[in-house]
Amino acid sequence: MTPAERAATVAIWTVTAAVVLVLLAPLVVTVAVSFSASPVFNLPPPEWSLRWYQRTARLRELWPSVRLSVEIALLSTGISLVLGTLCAMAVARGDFPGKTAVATFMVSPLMMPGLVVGVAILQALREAGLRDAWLGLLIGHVVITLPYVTRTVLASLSLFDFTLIEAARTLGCSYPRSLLTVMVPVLAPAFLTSGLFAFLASMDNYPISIFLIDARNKTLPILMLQYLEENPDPTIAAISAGLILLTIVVLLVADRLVGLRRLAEF
Amino acid sequence: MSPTGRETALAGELALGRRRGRLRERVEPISLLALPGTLYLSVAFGVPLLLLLVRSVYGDGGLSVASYVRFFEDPFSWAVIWNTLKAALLTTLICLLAGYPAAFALARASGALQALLLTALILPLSVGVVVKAFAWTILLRSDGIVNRLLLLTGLTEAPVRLIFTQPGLILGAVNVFLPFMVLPIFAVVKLIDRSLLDAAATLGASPVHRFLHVTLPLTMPGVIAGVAFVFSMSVSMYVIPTLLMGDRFKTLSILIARSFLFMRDRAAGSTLAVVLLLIAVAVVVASAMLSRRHQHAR
Amino acid sequence: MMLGGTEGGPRERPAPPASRDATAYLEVTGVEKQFRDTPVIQGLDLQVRAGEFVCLLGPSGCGKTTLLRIIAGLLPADRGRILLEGADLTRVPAHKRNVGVVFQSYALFPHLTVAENVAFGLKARGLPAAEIRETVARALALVRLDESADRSIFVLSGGQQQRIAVARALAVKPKLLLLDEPLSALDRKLRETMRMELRYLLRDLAITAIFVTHDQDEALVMSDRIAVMNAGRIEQFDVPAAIYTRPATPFVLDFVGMSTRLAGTVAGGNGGQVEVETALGRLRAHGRLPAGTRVLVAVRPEDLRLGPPHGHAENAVTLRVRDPVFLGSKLILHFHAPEGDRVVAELPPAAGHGLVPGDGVTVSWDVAATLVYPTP
Repeated sequence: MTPAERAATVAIWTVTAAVVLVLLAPLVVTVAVSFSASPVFNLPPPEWSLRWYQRTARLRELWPSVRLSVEIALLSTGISLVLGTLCAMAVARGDFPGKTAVATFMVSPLMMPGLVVGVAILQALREAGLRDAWLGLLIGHVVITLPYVTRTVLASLSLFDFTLIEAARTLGCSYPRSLLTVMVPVLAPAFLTSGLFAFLASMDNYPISIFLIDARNKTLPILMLQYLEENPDPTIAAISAGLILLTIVVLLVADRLVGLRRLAEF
Repeated sequence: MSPTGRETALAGELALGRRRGRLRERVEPISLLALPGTLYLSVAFGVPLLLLLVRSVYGDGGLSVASYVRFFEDPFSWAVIWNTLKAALLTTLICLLAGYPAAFALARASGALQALLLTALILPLSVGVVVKAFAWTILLRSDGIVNRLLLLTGLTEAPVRLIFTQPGLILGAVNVFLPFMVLPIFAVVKLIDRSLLDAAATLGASPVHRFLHVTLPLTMPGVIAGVAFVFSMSVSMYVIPTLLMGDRFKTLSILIARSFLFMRDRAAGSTLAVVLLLIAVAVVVASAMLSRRHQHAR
Repeated sequence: MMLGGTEGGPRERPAPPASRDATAYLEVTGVEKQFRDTPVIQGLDLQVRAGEFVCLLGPSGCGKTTLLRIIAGLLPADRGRILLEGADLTRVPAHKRNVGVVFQSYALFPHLTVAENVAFGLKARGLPAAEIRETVARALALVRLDESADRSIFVLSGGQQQRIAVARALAVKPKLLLLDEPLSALDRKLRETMRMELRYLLRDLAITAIFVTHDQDEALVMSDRIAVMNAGRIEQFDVPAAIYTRPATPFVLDFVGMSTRLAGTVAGGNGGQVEVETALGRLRAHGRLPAGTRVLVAVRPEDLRLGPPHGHAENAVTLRVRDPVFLGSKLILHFHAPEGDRVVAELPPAAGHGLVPGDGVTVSWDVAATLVYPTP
């Protein structure tokens, strides 16, 4: 290695180390604070305690909110997986005018300001006479999750060898059946990755949800921000620590199934 | 014609063709699979945005851009736009400078090290922006870790006020958006053919020349994607500035939220919303054009 | 084995370079390389003369590509030295060696046009734009692709891409050109055309070249000398004729061309000859080996003829025909042989006229053409 290459390597790894620290620091802090006995955010905590976790269990509004967020996230991810995959297939295999426009359009909600989309959907729903918050949330969340699925599945499809389908058909499978038996397993990692990202995006979404909720239906991020503004105490840290733990479990499972490397293909 | 308009027209032609007993060659059945998704998005996303746009130019007495004129005449508006753009530009720039090398490190690492890096990138994504912003409020306090580090390394002599300041905001934003810069670049770096770099070396290119003329051009698609994501996300961010700067830093998103949620001023809110929307659309269009220029068939 | 048969005529090979300095142009000494405790190259020496075209011939995994990469500077050797025109290149990074490489995959830059690809090395050296333009034009004319200068590399055919890769490597006037199986991706007809084109081009430019291949025909047709490699070592380094008629080891014997193989034990010998006892009888060959040595007796198919031996100067065996294979200009006869042995003869079609499987014949050949190798 030339001295230039050596210097570059050192620089790269230093920056990367800083990146890792910056990325993980908030998580570490949150977990640490959640075990603090003091209601003020002091680090290191003067005493350790589980009181905030106990409070979490007793929070009345928390569990319905968690349930709502998970429901909406699961449903919207599921719907998006279907709609997005169909669309990705059409773009990958079909040849119709406006193909690239369709692909760009399907991915665009990712890059649009959430607040704007939220307020637009709210007004449109009001106009259409739809006042049910749950339905409104679902409609909005499908919009957010669709791009994740379309993007990832499309990328995976563009690498897929379609002669495998032809091979299956010459062996006696009908077109739909060969799609199911040949393509779906190969796309499984893409489904998993995009499903995971879509689910997380939905669980985490604030800007669209804030407009579509009502007093009785509050998603988790909204509840948490509200709580933060009203009673800033480490209960919020305890909830967050719970979420972190849950995600670690999900990531471990996903790693077993497809490997972490595949997850990086968002 | 909008994409769905075309789709509907094509579907109509298809039906017509069938009735005549002929199938038009151009429209394959598989293209119709795009219909449900595109239709849904058009109705649930496209139409509401269009409505928002249309409403914002319809005043009490018909077509009117009065609200826009008022908005752009107000110097305060320009300050807000500048704040928004500045925050987004700084965030994107720092994410790019830090994320580009990190993407290479990720591609070169293997085994446990790569797993650690990937976890560091994906785990925070899962935790939610509220949590992260909240954690940064803790980190940025006068007695928080960041200040302690600064004092330790001698970069400052007294604790610096970071909470409710712009540097603190940028730091928090970079933290949230970094994965969206690193992952697209990583996806492209992974695909670079090593033999291209070998070939460049045997042709006499020094490591610097190889980087500038082979690696950099080949990673451009990933860089464009990453920059587009991070810029558009940071231009629209709401939770992070709210928690880390409160009312002190007025961005378009914060004002939009205020107008609709607290002040019930729909007209002003709509104008702001459309301005922000147009900025985001400009980013999408620019990145699509740029990536077309840098598209290399594989 | 088709020696010259593929071209269907006497073998056309450009004459070896006229003024050949006996001192080595490229000297590889004592090179060793291990990958994760597996030795890939073991104590290898090689000397190539100026203007020579040398082939590294061997099966996959024999280390030929690794050796090439070490010479190019893309891989450091664990031990050994590389000297080019007397200068020690061992520690010199690849981009300073002026050793050109044509890769198996061509490694053309996808983001550059054809002309920009060819200009890459010249640009890297900071040459003035006018000179670059001129050199690129000449290089493209040399490979007859001047029309494609501004096209994307993806619209080119495989053969055209290969020529661009060569033009690009030659544009910077390298001191040595290394080619890593550059023709393997081409279809057969194109391969045969490109072989000679490449050979003539390099000879006209007086470029010293090392060519890696696993195709023995290619090696025999193109090279001034062939280095047959096996398991990280060079088993024989010689001109094609010697490699074929006097293979130094059983490996070279088997890798290049077909042969009859008979296992046997040395029964005795006198003067310059040994007598070997095989399952098909007693055979004689030139050589000196102690009695009791286990050996392999071999002979090339075209050296066999049907009929009784002409006296003492010939060996003979009697066998039954197994498969006559008619190849147009010749007849290949496979015979029933004892377990592990093989007898195969190449004859003009007329000689085997009327032979059917099962027929018993006597096959004779010159004692002088008999090869014998001690086997462990």
